[in-house]
Amino acid sequence: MGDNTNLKEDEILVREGLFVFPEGKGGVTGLVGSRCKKCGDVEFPKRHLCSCCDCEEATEEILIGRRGTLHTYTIVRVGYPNYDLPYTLGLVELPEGKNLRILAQLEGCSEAEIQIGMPLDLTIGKIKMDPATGKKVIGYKYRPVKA
Amino acid sequence: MRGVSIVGAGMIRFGKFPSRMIEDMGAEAVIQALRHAGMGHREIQAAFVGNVGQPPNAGQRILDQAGMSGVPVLNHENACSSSSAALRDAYVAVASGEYDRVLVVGAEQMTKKIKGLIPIEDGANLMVDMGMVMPAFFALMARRHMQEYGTTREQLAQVSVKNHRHGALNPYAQYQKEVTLSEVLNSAVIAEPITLLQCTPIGDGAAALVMTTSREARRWTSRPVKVEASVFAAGFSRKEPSVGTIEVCCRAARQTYEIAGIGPEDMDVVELHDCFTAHEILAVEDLGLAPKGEGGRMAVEGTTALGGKIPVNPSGGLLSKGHPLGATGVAQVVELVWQLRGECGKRQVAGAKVALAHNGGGIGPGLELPAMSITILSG
Repeated sequence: MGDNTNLKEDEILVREGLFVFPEGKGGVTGLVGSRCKKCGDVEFPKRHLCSCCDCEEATEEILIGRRGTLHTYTIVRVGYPNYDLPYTLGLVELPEGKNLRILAQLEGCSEAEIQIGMPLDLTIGKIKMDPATGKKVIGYKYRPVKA
Repeated sequence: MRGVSIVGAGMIRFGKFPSRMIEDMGAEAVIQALRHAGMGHREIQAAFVGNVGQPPNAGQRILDQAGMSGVPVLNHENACSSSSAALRDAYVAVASGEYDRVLVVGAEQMTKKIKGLIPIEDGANLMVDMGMVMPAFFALMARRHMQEYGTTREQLAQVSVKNHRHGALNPYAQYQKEVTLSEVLNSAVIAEPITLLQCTPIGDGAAALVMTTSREARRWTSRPVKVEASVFAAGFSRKEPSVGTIEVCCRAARQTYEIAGIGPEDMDVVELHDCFTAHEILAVEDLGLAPKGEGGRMAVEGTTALGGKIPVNPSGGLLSKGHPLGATGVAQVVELVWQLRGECGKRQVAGAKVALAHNGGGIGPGLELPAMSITILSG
Protein backbone atom coordinates (compact mmCIF):
# COMPACT_ATOMS: atom_id res chain seq x y z
CA MET A 1 0.00 0.00 0.00
CA GLY A 2 1.03 3.60 -0.37
CA ASP A 3 1.90 5.48 -3.54
CA ASN A 4 2.92 8.96 -4.52
CA THR A 5 0.91 9.41 -7.72
CA ASN A 6 -1.07 12.30 -6.24
CA LEU A 7 1.97 14.39 -5.44
CA LYS A 8 2.43 17.67 -7.28
CA GLU A 9 5.69 18.75 -8.92
CA ASP A 10 6.77 20.78 -5.91
CA GLU A 11 5.98 18.11 -3.30
CA ILE A 12 7.79 15.11 -1.82
CA LEU A 13 6.66 12.54 0.75
CA VAL A 14 7.93 12.69 4.33
CA ARG A 15 8.46 8.94 4.07
CA GLU A 16 7.21 6.24 1.67
CA GLY A 17 4.42 3.87 2.64
CA LEU A 18 2.88 5.75 5.57
CA PHE A 19 -0.50 6.56 4.02
CA VAL A 20 -2.60 6.01 0.89
CA PHE A 21 -4.02 8.66 -1.41
CA PRO A 22 -7.55 7.99 -2.70
CA GLU A 23 -8.48 7.40 -6.33
CA GLY A 24 -9.04 10.84 -7.82
CA LYS A 25 -8.18 14.09 -6.17
CA GLY A 26 -7.61 15.33 -2.64
CA GLY A 27 -7.78 13.84 0.82
CA VAL A 28 -6.33 10.63 2.10
CA THR A 29 -7.87 7.20 2.58
CA GLY A 30 -5.95 6.14 5.63
CA LEU A 31 -2.68 5.42 7.35
CA VAL A 32 -0.94 2.14 6.56
CA GLY A 33 -0.87 0.20 9.80
CA SER A 34 -0.39 -3.46 10.63
CA ARG A 35 -2.76 -5.94 12.26
CA CYS A 36 -1.80 -9.09 14.13
CA LYS A 37 -3.42 -12.18 12.60
CA LYS A 38 -3.78 -13.74 16.07
CA CYS A 39 -4.79 -11.07 18.60
CA GLY A 40 -6.02 -8.48 16.09
CA ASP A 41 -4.03 -5.64 17.65
CA VAL A 42 -3.26 -2.75 15.33
CA GLU A 43 -0.09 -0.64 15.19
CA PHE A 44 1.21 2.34 13.25
CA PRO A 45 3.62 2.58 11.52
CA LYS A 46 3.38 -1.08 10.58
CA ARG A 47 5.52 -3.59 12.45
CA HIS A 48 6.87 -6.91 11.20
CA LEU A 49 5.70 -8.83 14.28
CA CYS A 50 3.01 -8.06 16.85
CA SER A 51 4.14 -6.21 20.01
CA CYS A 52 1.19 -7.33 22.11
CA CYS A 53 1.00 -11.14 21.84
CA ASP A 54 3.18 -14.16 21.08
CA CYS A 55 2.08 -14.51 17.43
CA GLU A 56 5.10 -15.31 15.26
CA GLU A 57 3.30 -14.94 11.95
CA ALA A 58 3.90 -11.74 9.98
CA THR A 59 1.33 -9.00 10.47
CA GLU A 60 -1.03 -7.89 7.68
CA GLU A 61 -1.52 -4.35 6.40
CA ILE A 62 -4.65 -2.43 7.30
CA LEU A 63 -5.80 1.13 6.61
CA ILE A 64 -6.50 3.01 9.83
CA GLY A 65 -6.60 6.41 11.46
CA ARG A 66 -9.23 8.34 9.48
CA ARG A 67 -10.56 9.59 12.79
CA GLY A 68 -8.94 10.00 16.20
CA THR A 69 -9.20 11.97 19.43
CA LEU A 70 -6.69 14.41 20.89
CA HIS A 71 -4.77 12.85 23.83
CA THR A 72 -2.54 15.89 24.40
CA TYR A 73 -1.02 18.77 22.46
CA THR A 74 1.56 21.54 22.46
CA ILE A 75 2.21 24.64 20.40
CA VAL A 76 5.79 24.71 19.15
CA ARG A 77 7.08 28.29 19.04
CA VAL A 78 10.79 27.55 18.65
CA GLY A 79 11.65 24.73 16.25
CA TYR A 80 13.92 23.51 13.50
CA PRO A 81 14.46 25.59 10.36
CA ASN A 82 12.12 24.86 7.42
CA TYR A 83 8.99 24.68 9.59
CA ASP A 84 6.33 27.39 9.63
CA LEU A 85 6.29 28.58 13.25
CA PRO A 86 4.33 28.35 15.39
CA TYR A 87 2.70 24.99 14.72
CA THR A 88 0.58 22.70 16.85
CA LEU A 89 1.60 19.13 17.59
CA GLY A 90 -1.02 16.66 18.77
CA LEU A 91 -0.73 13.16 20.14
CA VAL A 92 -3.74 11.56 18.49
CA GLU A 93 -5.35 8.45 19.93
CA LEU A 94 -6.65 6.08 17.26
CA PRO A 95 -9.61 3.77 17.97
CA GLU A 96 -8.20 0.77 16.08
CA GLY A 97 -5.66 -0.31 18.74
CA LYS A 98 -5.23 -0.22 22.52
CA ASN A 99 -3.27 2.88 23.67
CA LEU A 100 -2.43 3.48 19.99
CA ARG A 101 -1.32 7.08 19.71
CA ILE A 102 0.52 8.88 16.95
CA LEU A 103 2.15 12.26 16.71
CA ALA A 104 0.91 14.65 14.02
CA GLN A 105 0.67 18.33 13.31
CA LEU A 106 -2.82 19.78 13.72
CA GLU A 107 -4.23 22.20 11.19
CA GLY A 108 -7.36 24.25 10.84
CA CYS A 109 -7.92 24.91 14.52
CA SER A 110 -7.19 28.05 16.48
CA GLU A 111 -5.31 27.88 19.80
CA ALA A 112 -8.52 28.83 21.59
CA GLU A 113 -10.49 25.89 20.24
CA ILE A 114 -7.93 23.13 20.96
CA GLN A 115 -9.16 20.76 23.67
CA ILE A 116 -7.92 17.41 24.89
CA GLY A 117 -10.49 14.80 23.86
CA MET A 118 -11.64 16.64 20.72
CA PRO A 119 -12.41 14.46 17.68
CA LEU A 120 -10.06 14.84 14.72
CA ASP A 121 -10.07 13.86 11.05
CA LEU A 122 -7.06 12.66 9.08
CA THR A 123 -5.82 14.88 6.29
CA ILE A 124 -2.65 15.37 4.32
CA GLY A 125 -0.62 18.51 4.01
CA LYS A 126 2.69 20.25 4.25
CA ILE A 127 4.85 19.34 7.23
CA LYS A 128 7.86 21.52 6.34
CA MET A 129 10.06 22.56 3.43
CA ASP A 130 12.86 20.29 2.25
CA PRO A 131 16.06 22.35 2.25
CA ALA A 132 17.80 20.11 -0.31
CA THR A 133 15.13 20.28 -3.03
CA GLY A 134 13.13 23.36 -2.02
CA LYS A 135 9.99 21.18 -2.22
CA LYS A 136 7.13 20.87 0.26
CA VAL A 137 7.38 17.79 2.46
CA ILE A 138 3.94 16.14 2.54
CA GLY A 139 2.74 14.01 5.42
CA TYR A 140 -0.34 13.12 7.44
CA LYS A 141 -1.95 15.71 9.70
CA TYR A 142 -5.17 16.01 11.67
CA ARG A 143 -7.87 18.71 11.78
CA PRO A 144 -10.99 19.24 13.88
CA VAL A 145 -14.03 17.28 12.70
CA LYS A 146 -16.31 19.67 10.83
CA ALA A 147 -19.77 19.85 12.36
CA MET B 1 27.36 -12.25 42.05
CA ARG B 2 29.81 -10.05 43.99
CA GLY B 3 28.95 -6.80 45.73
CA VAL B 4 30.03 -3.72 43.77
CA SER B 5 31.15 -0.36 45.18
CA ILE B 6 32.29 3.02 43.91
CA VAL B 7 35.55 4.24 45.43
CA GLY B 8 36.25 7.37 43.38
CA ALA B 9 34.16 10.03 41.63
CA GLY B 10 35.25 13.05 39.62
CA MET B 11 33.91 15.48 37.04
CA ILE B 12 34.77 18.73 35.35
CA ARG B 13 32.55 21.76 35.71
CA PHE B 14 29.89 21.63 33.00
CA GLY B 15 29.77 24.59 30.63
CA LYS B 16 30.21 25.81 27.10
CA PHE B 17 33.71 24.87 25.99
CA PRO B 18 33.53 24.77 22.18
CA SER B 19 37.30 24.53 21.84
CA ARG B 20 37.78 21.65 24.31
CA MET B 21 38.01 18.15 22.86
CA ILE B 22 36.14 15.25 24.42
CA GLU B 23 39.46 13.41 24.96
CA ASP B 24 40.75 16.28 27.05
CA MET B 25 37.57 16.70 29.14
CA GLY B 26 37.15 12.94 29.60
CA ALA B 27 40.78 12.43 30.68
CA GLU B 28 40.51 15.25 33.23
CA ALA B 29 37.42 13.65 34.81
CA VAL B 30 39.10 10.21 34.81
CA ILE B 31 42.22 11.54 36.53
CA GLN B 32 40.08 13.28 39.17
CA ALA B 33 38.14 10.09 39.84
CA LEU B 34 41.37 8.07 40.19
CA ARG B 35 42.85 10.66 42.58
CA HIS B 36 39.60 10.65 44.58
CA ALA B 37 40.04 6.89 44.90
CA GLY B 38 43.78 7.14 45.58
CA MET B 39 44.23 4.59 42.79
CA GLY B 40 46.96 4.52 40.15
CA HIS B 41 45.83 4.23 36.54
CA ARG B 42 47.69 0.93 36.01
CA GLU B 43 45.16 -0.72 38.33
CA ILE B 44 42.30 -0.20 35.84
CA GLN B 45 41.35 -3.34 33.89
CA ALA B 46 38.58 -1.99 31.63
CA ALA B 47 36.52 1.12 30.95
CA PHE B 48 32.83 1.56 30.13
CA VAL B 49 32.18 4.83 28.36
CA GLY B 50 28.94 6.63 27.45
CA ASN B 51 28.74 9.18 24.66
CA VAL B 52 26.12 10.20 22.06
CA GLY B 53 27.57 12.44 19.38
CA GLN B 54 31.23 11.58 18.82
CA PRO B 55 32.77 9.57 15.99
CA PRO B 56 33.51 5.92 16.91
CA ASN B 57 35.90 4.91 19.73
CA ALA B 58 35.54 8.06 21.83
CA GLY B 59 36.28 6.01 24.95
CA GLN B 60 39.59 4.70 23.61
CA ARG B 61 40.69 8.24 22.78
CA ILE B 62 39.81 9.43 26.31
CA LEU B 63 41.74 6.57 27.91
CA ASP B 64 44.68 7.16 25.60
CA GLN B 65 44.84 10.76 26.87
CA ALA B 66 44.80 9.46 30.44
CA GLY B 67 47.73 7.13 29.85
CA MET B 68 45.65 3.97 29.51
CA SER B 69 46.11 3.02 25.88
CA GLY B 70 45.53 -0.71 25.55
CA VAL B 71 42.94 -1.00 28.33
CA PRO B 72 39.72 -2.59 26.94
CA VAL B 73 36.94 -0.02 26.32
CA LEU B 74 33.24 -0.71 25.85
CA ASN B 75 31.52 2.33 24.28
CA HIS B 76 27.81 2.80 24.98
CA GLU B 77 25.18 4.88 23.16
CA ASN B 78 21.65 5.16 24.62
CA ALA B 79 20.72 8.80 23.98
CA CYS B 80 20.66 10.82 27.22
CA SER B 81 21.09 7.59 29.23
CA SER B 82 24.33 6.58 27.50
CA SER B 83 26.66 6.70 30.47
CA SER B 84 24.06 5.08 32.74
CA ALA B 85 24.07 2.17 30.29
CA ALA B 86 27.86 2.12 30.63
CA LEU B 87 27.52 2.16 34.45
CA ARG B 88 25.05 -0.71 34.40
CA ASP B 89 27.33 -2.87 32.25
CA ALA B 90 30.36 -1.98 34.37
CA TYR B 91 28.39 -3.03 37.44
CA VAL B 92 27.53 -6.39 35.85
CA ALA B 93 31.14 -6.92 34.71
CA VAL B 94 32.49 -6.37 38.23
CA ALA B 95 29.67 -8.29 39.92
CA SER B 96 30.17 -11.25 37.60
CA GLY B 97 33.89 -11.51 38.40
CA GLU B 98 35.15 -10.56 34.95
CA TYR B 99 36.96 -7.45 36.24
CA ASP B 100 37.96 -6.20 39.71
CA ARG B 101 38.59 -2.50 38.96
CA VAL B 102 36.95 -0.54 36.16
CA LEU B 103 36.30 3.03 35.09
CA VAL B 104 32.87 4.35 34.14
CA VAL B 105 33.04 7.50 32.05
CA GLY B 106 30.52 9.85 30.47
CA ALA B 107 31.62 12.65 28.17
CA GLU B 108 30.12 14.94 25.56
CA GLN B 109 31.21 17.82 23.36
CA MET B 110 28.06 19.62 22.14
CA THR B 111 28.73 23.33 21.72
CA LYS B 112 31.24 22.97 18.90
CA LYS B 113 28.36 21.93 16.61
CA ILE B 114 25.04 22.66 18.33
CA LYS B 115 23.23 25.84 19.27
CA GLY B 116 19.72 25.56 20.73
CA LEU B 117 17.69 22.52 19.67
CA ILE B 118 19.51 19.21 19.25
CA PRO B 119 19.49 18.33 15.56
CA ILE B 120 18.28 14.83 14.68
CA GLU B 121 18.91 13.48 11.20
CA ASP B 122 15.94 13.27 8.79
CA GLY B 123 14.59 9.76 8.46
CA ALA B 124 16.04 8.55 11.77
CA ASN B 125 12.91 9.08 13.87
CA LEU B 126 9.37 9.41 12.48
CA MET B 127 8.27 11.70 15.33
CA VAL B 128 11.10 14.11 14.54
CA ASP B 129 10.28 13.99 10.83
CA MET B 130 6.72 15.05 11.71
CA GLY B 131 7.90 18.08 13.71
CA MET B 132 8.83 16.78 17.17
CA VAL B 133 11.46 18.73 19.09
CA MET B 134 12.74 17.68 22.53
CA PRO B 135 10.93 20.43 24.50
CA ALA B 136 7.67 19.45 22.76
CA PHE B 137 8.08 15.83 23.87
CA PHE B 138 7.86 16.88 27.51
CA ALA B 139 5.41 19.72 26.82
CA LEU B 140 2.97 17.08 25.52
CA MET B 141 3.38 15.15 28.79
CA ALA B 142 3.04 18.37 30.80
CA ARG B 143 -0.23 19.31 29.08
CA ARG B 144 -1.73 15.88 29.74
CA HIS B 145 -0.56 16.00 33.37
CA MET B 146 -2.17 19.45 33.78
CA GLN B 147 -5.43 18.07 32.40
CA GLU B 148 -5.45 14.96 34.61
CA TYR B 149 -4.10 16.33 37.89
CA GLY B 150 -4.56 20.10 37.76
CA THR B 151 -0.82 20.76 37.66
CA THR B 152 -0.18 24.44 37.00
CA ARG B 153 2.32 26.50 35.00
CA GLU B 154 3.58 27.95 38.29
CA GLN B 155 4.26 24.47 39.68
CA LEU B 156 6.22 23.56 36.55
CA ALA B 157 8.22 26.80 36.76
CA GLN B 158 8.93 26.24 40.46
CA VAL B 159 11.00 23.15 39.58
CA SER B 160 13.35 25.40 37.63
CA VAL B 161 13.51 27.96 40.47
CA LYS B 162 14.38 25.19 42.95
CA ASN B 163 17.01 23.53 40.78
CA HIS B 164 18.69 26.82 39.90
CA ARG B 165 18.78 27.65 43.62
CA HIS B 166 20.59 24.33 44.17
CA GLY B 167 22.88 24.90 41.19
CA ALA B 168 23.94 28.26 42.60
CA LEU B 169 25.57 26.26 45.44
CA ASN B 170 27.40 23.85 43.11
CA PRO B 171 30.84 24.87 41.79
CA TYR B 172 30.51 22.17 39.09
CA ALA B 173 27.24 23.58 37.66
CA GLN B 174 27.06 25.26 34.25
CA TYR B 175 24.72 27.91 35.69
CA GLN B 176 25.42 29.03 39.26
CA LYS B 177 22.75 31.69 39.39
CA GLU B 178 19.29 31.74 40.96
CA VAL B 179 16.23 32.57 38.86
CA THR B 180 12.86 33.90 40.05
CA LEU B 181 9.44 32.44 39.34
CA SER B 182 8.51 35.40 37.17
CA GLU B 183 11.77 35.15 35.20
CA VAL B 184 11.00 31.50 34.47
CA LEU B 185 7.36 32.13 33.54
CA ASN B 186 8.17 35.18 31.43
CA SER B 187 11.09 33.67 29.53
CA ALA B 188 10.38 32.83 25.87
CA VAL B 189 7.80 30.10 25.25
CA ILE B 190 9.53 27.22 23.47
CA ALA B 191 6.75 24.60 23.35
CA GLU B 192 3.73 25.48 25.47
CA PRO B 193 3.70 25.32 28.48
CA ILE B 194 7.51 24.91 28.56
CA THR B 195 9.47 28.20 28.59
CA LEU B 196 13.18 28.71 27.92
CA LEU B 197 14.23 28.62 31.58
CA GLN B 198 12.43 25.27 31.92
CA CYS B 199 14.75 23.69 29.34
CA THR B 200 18.14 22.18 30.03
CA PRO B 201 20.95 24.08 28.30
CA ILE B 202 23.38 22.80 25.67
CA GLY B 203 26.77 22.17 27.24
CA ASP B 204 30.00 20.23 27.38
CA GLY B 205 31.48 18.12 30.14
CA ALA B 206 32.73 14.83 31.47
CA ALA B 207 32.40 12.72 34.60
CA ALA B 208 34.01 9.50 35.81
CA LEU B 209 33.71 6.82 38.49
CA VAL B 210 36.07 4.14 39.78
CA MET B 211 34.23 0.91 40.53
CA THR B 212 35.50 -2.18 42.31
CA THR B 213 34.20 -5.07 44.39
CA SER B 214 32.74 -4.25 47.78
CA ARG B 215 35.28 -6.64 49.27
CA GLU B 216 38.21 -4.69 47.76
CA ALA B 217 36.65 -1.23 48.26
CA ARG B 218 38.04 -0.62 51.74
CA ARG B 219 41.56 -1.06 50.39
CA TRP B 220 40.99 2.27 48.60
CA THR B 221 38.70 4.27 50.86
CA SER B 222 37.10 4.25 54.28
CA ARG B 223 33.89 5.52 52.67
CA PRO B 224 32.95 3.33 49.72
CA VAL B 225 29.52 3.75 48.13
CA LYS B 226 27.75 0.48 47.37
CA VAL B 227 25.71 -0.04 44.20
CA GLU B 228 22.60 -1.68 45.61
CA ALA B 229 20.90 -2.08 42.22
CA SER B 230 21.24 -0.77 38.68
CA VAL B 231 18.38 -1.41 36.27
CA PHE B 232 18.11 -0.48 32.60
CA ALA B 233 14.65 -0.69 31.00
CA ALA B 234 13.01 0.18 27.67
CA GLY B 235 9.75 2.06 27.21
CA PHE B 236 6.88 0.19 25.56
CA SER B 237 4.51 2.57 23.82
CA ARG B 238 1.50 0.29 24.00
CA LYS B 239 1.53 0.07 27.79
CA GLU B 240 1.26 3.78 28.51
CA PRO B 241 -2.27 4.23 29.93
CA SER B 242 -1.79 7.97 29.43
CA VAL B 243 1.25 10.10 28.78
CA GLY B 244 0.66 11.80 32.14
CA THR B 245 2.46 8.75 33.59
CA ILE B 246 5.80 7.38 32.41
CA GLU B 247 5.14 3.66 32.51
CA VAL B 248 8.76 2.62 31.99
CA CYS B 249 9.78 4.72 35.01
CA CYS B 250 7.18 3.01 37.23
CA ARG B 251 8.26 -0.41 35.94
CA ALA B 252 12.01 0.19 36.28
CA ALA B 253 11.53 1.72 39.74
CA ARG B 254 9.57 -1.31 41.00
CA GLN B 255 12.30 -3.62 39.71
CA THR B 256 15.11 -1.53 41.22
CA TYR B 257 13.44 -1.27 44.63
CA GLU B 258 12.83 -5.01 44.63
CA ILE B 259 16.47 -5.88 43.81
CA ALA B 260 17.82 -3.37 46.35
CA GLY B 261 15.32 -4.28 49.06
CA ILE B 262 15.04 -0.53 49.61
CA GLY B 263 11.89 1.50 48.89
CA PRO B 264 11.19 5.08 47.84
CA GLU B 265 10.42 6.00 51.47
CA ASP B 266 14.03 5.15 52.36
CA MET B 267 15.63 7.63 49.96
CA ASP B 268 17.64 10.50 51.46
CA VAL B 269 18.64 12.20 48.21
CA VAL B 270 17.73 11.85 44.52
CA GLU B 271 19.28 13.02 41.27
CA LEU B 272 16.71 12.74 38.49
CA HIS B 273 16.43 13.59 34.82
CA ASP B 274 14.97 17.12 34.83
CA CYS B 275 15.79 17.82 31.18
CA PHE B 276 12.58 19.88 31.19
CA THR B 277 10.64 20.85 34.31
CA ALA B 278 7.71 18.56 33.51
CA HIS B 279 9.96 15.53 33.61
CA GLU B 280 10.88 16.17 37.25
CA ILE B 281 7.21 16.41 38.24
CA LEU B 282 6.31 13.15 36.48
CA ALA B 283 9.45 11.37 37.70
CA VAL B 284 9.02 12.15 41.42
CA GLU B 285 5.56 10.61 41.14
CA ASP B 286 6.49 7.64 38.96
CA LEU B 287 9.49 6.83 41.20
CA GLY B 288 7.04 6.67 44.11
CA LEU B 289 8.54 9.68 45.94
CA ALA B 290 5.17 11.49 45.72
CA PRO B 291 1.59 10.28 45.33
CA LYS B 292 0.43 10.49 41.70
CA GLY B 293 -0.59 14.03 40.87
CA GLU B 294 1.31 15.60 43.80
CA GLY B 295 4.65 16.21 42.05
CA GLY B 296 3.89 19.84 41.26
CA ARG B 297 2.71 20.60 44.77
CA MET B 298 5.88 19.05 46.25
CA ALA B 299 8.05 21.44 44.25
CA VAL B 300 6.08 24.46 45.49
CA GLU B 301 5.96 23.32 49.12
CA GLY B 302 9.71 22.71 49.24
CA THR B 303 9.48 18.96 49.92
CA THR B 304 11.97 18.31 47.11
CA ALA B 305 14.24 21.27 47.91
CA LEU B 306 17.45 21.14 49.98
CA GLY B 307 16.26 21.06 53.59
CA GLY B 308 12.99 19.38 52.55
CA LYS B 309 11.88 15.81 53.23
CA ILE B 310 13.39 14.37 50.04
CA PRO B 311 15.86 16.69 48.29
CA VAL B 312 15.74 16.20 44.52
CA ASN B 313 18.58 17.40 42.29
CA PRO B 314 20.79 19.07 44.94
CA SER B 315 23.43 19.43 42.19
CA GLY B 316 21.11 21.77 40.30
CA GLY B 317 19.98 18.96 38.05
CA LEU B 318 20.11 19.05 34.28
CA LEU B 319 18.37 22.45 34.34
CA SER B 320 21.15 24.24 36.21
CA LYS B 321 24.16 21.91 36.45
CA GLY B 322 23.76 21.22 32.73
CA HIS B 323 23.28 18.24 30.45
CA PRO B 324 26.18 17.27 28.19
CA LEU B 325 24.20 14.24 27.02
CA GLY B 326 26.64 11.36 27.42
CA ALA B 327 28.13 12.82 30.61
CA THR B 328 24.85 13.12 32.49
CA GLY B 329 24.22 9.63 33.89
CA VAL B 330 27.70 9.34 35.40
CA ALA B 331 27.60 12.96 36.63
CA GLN B 332 24.39 12.20 38.54
CA VAL B 333 26.12 9.30 40.29
CA VAL B 334 29.24 11.42 40.94
CA GLU B 335 27.03 13.91 42.80
CA LEU B 336 25.37 11.12 44.79
CA VAL B 337 28.72 9.51 45.70
CA TRP B 338 29.91 12.89 47.00
CA GLN B 339 26.59 13.36 48.86
CA LEU B 340 26.85 9.94 50.51
CA ARG B 341 30.43 10.73 51.56
CA GLY B 342 29.43 14.13 52.94
CA GLU B 343 31.63 16.05 50.50
CA CYS B 344 29.08 18.45 48.99
CA GLY B 345 29.70 21.60 51.03
CA LYS B 346 26.83 24.09 50.93
CA ARG B 347 24.52 21.76 49.01
CA GLN B 348 25.17 18.75 51.31
CA VAL B 349 22.09 16.76 52.35
CA ALA B 350 22.86 16.15 56.02
CA GLY B 351 23.39 12.51 56.93
CA ALA B 352 22.47 11.09 53.51
CA LYS B 353 22.79 7.28 53.55
CA VAL B 354 20.66 6.08 50.59
CA ALA B 355 20.43 7.70 47.16
CA LEU B 356 18.72 7.16 43.82
CA ALA B 357 19.75 8.21 40.31
CA HIS B 358 17.16 8.34 37.49
CA ASN B 359 18.25 8.91 33.89
CA GLY B 360 15.90 8.68 30.89
CA GLY B 361 16.78 8.83 27.22
CA GLY B 362 15.39 9.17 23.73
CA ILE B 363 12.00 9.77 22.11
CA GLY B 364 9.81 6.78 21.28
CA PRO B 365 6.90 6.59 18.82
CA GLY B 366 4.13 6.48 21.44
CA LEU B 367 5.77 9.25 23.48
CA GLU B 368 7.53 6.65 25.59
CA LEU B 369 11.16 6.89 26.74
CA PRO B 370 13.20 4.25 24.91
CA ALA B 371 15.83 4.13 27.66
CA MET B 372 15.37 4.33 31.43
CA SER B 373 18.09 3.78 34.02
CA ILE B 374 17.58 3.70 37.78
CA THR B 375 20.44 3.13 40.21
CA ILE B 376 20.28 2.90 43.99
CA LEU B 377 23.39 3.62 46.06
CA SER B 378 24.15 3.40 49.77
CA GLY B 379 26.94 4.99 51.74
